[in-house]
Amino acid sequence: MSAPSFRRRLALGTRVLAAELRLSSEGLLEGHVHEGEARRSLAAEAVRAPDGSVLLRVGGEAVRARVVRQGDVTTVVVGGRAYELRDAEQAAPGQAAAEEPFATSPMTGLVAKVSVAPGARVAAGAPLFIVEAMKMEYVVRATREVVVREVRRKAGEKVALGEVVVAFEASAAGRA
Amino acid sequence: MSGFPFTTVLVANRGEIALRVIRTLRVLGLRSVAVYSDADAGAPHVLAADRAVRIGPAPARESYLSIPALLQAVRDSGAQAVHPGYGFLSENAAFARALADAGVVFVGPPAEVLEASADKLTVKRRVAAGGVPVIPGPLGAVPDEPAALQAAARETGYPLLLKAAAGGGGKGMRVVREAGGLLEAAESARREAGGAFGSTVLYLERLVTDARHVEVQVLCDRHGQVRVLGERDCSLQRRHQKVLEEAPAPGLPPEQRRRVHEAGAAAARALGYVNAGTVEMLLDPEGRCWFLEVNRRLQVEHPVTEATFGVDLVAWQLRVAAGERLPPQDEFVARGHAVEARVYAEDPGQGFLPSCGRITALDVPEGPGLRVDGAWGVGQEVSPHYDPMLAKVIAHGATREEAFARLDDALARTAVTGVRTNVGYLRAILADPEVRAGRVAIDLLERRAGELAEPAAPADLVLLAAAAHALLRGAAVTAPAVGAAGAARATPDSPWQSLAGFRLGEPSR
Repeated sequence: MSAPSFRRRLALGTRVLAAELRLSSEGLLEGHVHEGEARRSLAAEAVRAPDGSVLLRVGGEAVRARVVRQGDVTTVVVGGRAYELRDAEQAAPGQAAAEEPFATSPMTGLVAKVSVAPGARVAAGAPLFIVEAMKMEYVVRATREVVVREVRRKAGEKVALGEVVVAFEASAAGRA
Repeated sequence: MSGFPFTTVLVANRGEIALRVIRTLRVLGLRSVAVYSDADAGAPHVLAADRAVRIGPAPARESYLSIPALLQAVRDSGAQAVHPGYGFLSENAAFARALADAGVVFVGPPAEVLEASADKLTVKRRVAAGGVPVIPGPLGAVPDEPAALQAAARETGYPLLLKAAAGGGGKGMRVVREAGGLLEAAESARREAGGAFGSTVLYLERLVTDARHVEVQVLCDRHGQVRVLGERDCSLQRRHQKVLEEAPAPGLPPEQRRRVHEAGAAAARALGYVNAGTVEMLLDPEGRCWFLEVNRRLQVEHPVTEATFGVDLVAWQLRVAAGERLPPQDEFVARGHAVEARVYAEDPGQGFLPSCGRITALDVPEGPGLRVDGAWGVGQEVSPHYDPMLAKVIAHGATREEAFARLDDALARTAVTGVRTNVGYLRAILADPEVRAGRVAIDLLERRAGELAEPAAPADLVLLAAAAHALLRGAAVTAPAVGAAGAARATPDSPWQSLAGFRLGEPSR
């Protein structure tokens, strides 16, 4: 019979890793990972701790990791640092963010102020809107010269991470 | 000593500080009443108290900052005393006055002390009159009129600091380096101050650069006695938000330490101060100390003083509020070194933006010399309405090196998922050679931001962990049960016994 296996394409930040690992009945985790052109072999002893965390022995070094999978994101916490692995099938790596025809909220919070109105021409670096969460303010600025087409949130309204607050005219004036 | 003139104490706060106060109330045999907004129904502090009273909807202005709502909760619960914690209404004179008028004990400075030091500007004038050195700047409010504001700023000189007179915790404070950024900074500071403190009054100060932040813990009774419980160094700050605090201040020559303590005591006397308070000072490279402000409440970082002096400051606050006399100064003796790290729900990889969400797994470290004050738990919602601090991890040791090593080990064993945290950043700070050498300064974290940036992810290790998690049978995926105070459940049959030689966490960088 074959050992249980783990075959997944995962994005870690901007890196895409294709893992193929098997777990032997002795608790030996073995296989390899493809990253671009490169291929590396991986091996570790693996044990599940009673508290649900994972214990690994990799090349003489012992590491404890807390792993949680939720939706298409696997969060791995090692040494206090959390790393997020995203299932790469849906991931669209290398999205160009700089020229997007809208400005999104950088965090979940409340819109504290909208500094622009539809039709306004906004210089690069000028404030578009302010989001507030936990009493901290974050000013979202135009990354280039833009003309505002639409404002989708008013001051005092809730906004989610990544939600569009201000949309620009498609013919970005800044490119002219 | 027992015999408090009150038996039930309402804690007018939330989060870890509410839990911490409730713990002492329990030790002293006093009944505790928690208050909560709709966002906090079922929060750890609500579960820990003997009784809990709803005070309003989620926004702080309509709940934790609402004096009428809190007075109603005091009446409904029959509390005879109120502990305000820190932030919110802790330094609010109107709140202390309303309680006094209702015959309720305020566990903090009496209303008249708060009234006479109602804003930082007044305090600055009074301590200056008491002979305490203050930072150069106009002893008046920033004018609303743009031209007048520009003129006042020119006179003070750039770089300067805009501060909310009613401010605290870095909120409503802005560094302004040149005239061009002044008006926008003032507008933004006013809005933030208005939201956080209900007052938009600002004042100006010269920015003291290359300085250390050293603060003196004072304890003053109603009989005119002032005690100094050492100093804390809180130089490691990011955007005026303290990140790492320690006691005593490292590398302070005895003569400088004595002068800092004397300035702290002098400031307390100049204000006729009563209860626990903190006199914040800047120590410039020449060793001169400048009065910064007085915090008329318990500080977030009070546990490092508690660890070194072996005292319970909340218990002393209650005793002083009950009219007790403080013991002589020589009964307060410090031992060893303590350091505290603040764990924030924020994303160091995204410019430290607050990270909201629900905690899905949590490992809280335990060990000798370790204390964790948190109000976190699996399932706990981290909401955008309140402060992003999740917990404080405090380590005490015989030496600074031991305390730092214990803290780093504790942070390496801390795991939070569901929201992003600064734990990795804290470990990077602890590993920084300048920090280790005790060469701390207020600008250090900004200056060394490059060195303190997140290291590259150990991709192969992360993959192995994810694969092991997916493939291993055994203990459930669910996170450990967490007590209200944030203490992780102990695992009796620890895997470490069967896996001798296992070292926890990765080596610090």
